[in-house]
Amino acid sequence: MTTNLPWLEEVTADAATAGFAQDGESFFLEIHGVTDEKEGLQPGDRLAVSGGADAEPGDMVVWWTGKARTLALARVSDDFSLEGVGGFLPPPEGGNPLVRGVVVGRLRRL
Amino acid sequence: MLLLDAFVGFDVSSNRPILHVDLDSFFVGVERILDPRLKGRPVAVGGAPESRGVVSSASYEARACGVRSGMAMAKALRLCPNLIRKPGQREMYARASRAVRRVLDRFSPVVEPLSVDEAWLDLRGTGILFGCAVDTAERIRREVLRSLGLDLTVGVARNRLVSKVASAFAKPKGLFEVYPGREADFLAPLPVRALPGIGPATENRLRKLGLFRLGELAAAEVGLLRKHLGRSGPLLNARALGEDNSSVRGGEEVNIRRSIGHEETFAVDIHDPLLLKAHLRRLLDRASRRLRAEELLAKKVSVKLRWSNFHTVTRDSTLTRHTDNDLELAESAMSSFEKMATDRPMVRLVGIRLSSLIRGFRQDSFFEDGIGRSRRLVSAIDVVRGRHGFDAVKAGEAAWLPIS
Repeated sequence: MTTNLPWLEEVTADAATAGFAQDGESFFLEIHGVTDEKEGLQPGDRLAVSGGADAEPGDMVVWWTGKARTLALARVSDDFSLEGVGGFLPPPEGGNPLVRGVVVGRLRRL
Repeated sequence: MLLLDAFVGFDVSSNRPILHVDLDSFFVGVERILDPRLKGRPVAVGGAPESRGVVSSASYEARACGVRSGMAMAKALRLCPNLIRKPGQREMYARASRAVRRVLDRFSPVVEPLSVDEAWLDLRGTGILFGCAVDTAERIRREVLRSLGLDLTVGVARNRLVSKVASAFAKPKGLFEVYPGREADFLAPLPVRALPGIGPATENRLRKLGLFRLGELAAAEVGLLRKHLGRSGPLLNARALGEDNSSVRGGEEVNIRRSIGHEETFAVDIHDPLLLKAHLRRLLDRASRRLRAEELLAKKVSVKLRWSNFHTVTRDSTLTRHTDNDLELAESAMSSFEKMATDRPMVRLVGIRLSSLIRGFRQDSFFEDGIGRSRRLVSAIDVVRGRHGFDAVKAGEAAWLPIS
């Protein structure tokens, strides 16, 4: 039995999108193993992440635990807790998640 | 549940989902439909290098060699020796554009063409039929590819401005959705030139102020921008924040083209101002004739000059009223030319563009006998040209041109 685990891969920008990633704070992540109709996410989608933006309730964010350095997606709830998105688990209680950036858009090659 | 889903998220009316649809290398795409052997090969549409033609559209294979739109065809051929040049077939492109428009009309009642290969769609209220904005974008893409064989890119955002930046970002064959409320964060890292309306001259002025990225422009003090950029300063500041309240104009409004223009690249650079004015006048006469043929009136006249070193300047002038009269338009164009052409050496290209168009034809006042007479003269000239060809009559400054 195989299970597709969701994971995110940091990818370099192409010629058209290079401008976005040149400020040192913003970057792209490619989604693997995620199909989430509600969030409109598919494998191969690239998320544009702004490292300088402040997260607000309703935002999709990328977070990691300082220890594992594994990136995950979450949505910021009204009480500013993080809820898992697209098969990613929410941070464990007391896990001290660090938000790396806010997802500002999504690129899909058609 | 299905109905409810359709109204969730981006499709709530207040979020005003807007698509900017941009056909990829459109002219090349049409040429490839007409001649499938061109697929996968470097192709450029544009004028012949012998007549100093320029590239108006390049395939992505050609772009990989450094070929760009607006580049001299001779240079393009040097960069890409196996480049296939096609001279261009305007009527075929217009037909393809109309076919794409028919597809777009099926997905929204509010479609505004921006040019022959770009359009905005306002998707308010369409979610119940087609799902969210991204689903609609994908359906449009599939339908245009299936029925016409043309590739396109789509930008999805809450307003026209950001959707256009988003489509440029996703080219080719891409779709970029900017999440609502995150427009400023999306734009912030981008270079100032990414914003529509910022050309080389404005970019240069912004650089002098230390503003290189849109985030810096958005954070700049408005008073400073007004001081250095005039009235456009605060506007650019708002646009850098992703603010744009303009509507997608559908219905009768969109049937009016945005501008009518003509350009001419000379086989040999010209210095003589009389000859330049003659060429300019002929271009203006061509544009105003089209204006009258389409029953449009223009209020803005733009003159474009490209020097031999490729530096390009444009000067706009706005008339006090809309008109389709050659004499009124020419007076404005020549006045702009006089201001631009001082102490300048050789000119490679001249162009004229008539914009701020409205539908209608000029109703002459009973008390403006001179204009009434000139209007009758222009109508008579149109008739003669219709029968004997455009160059049968050379008006005003164009009389200096040799008989072809």
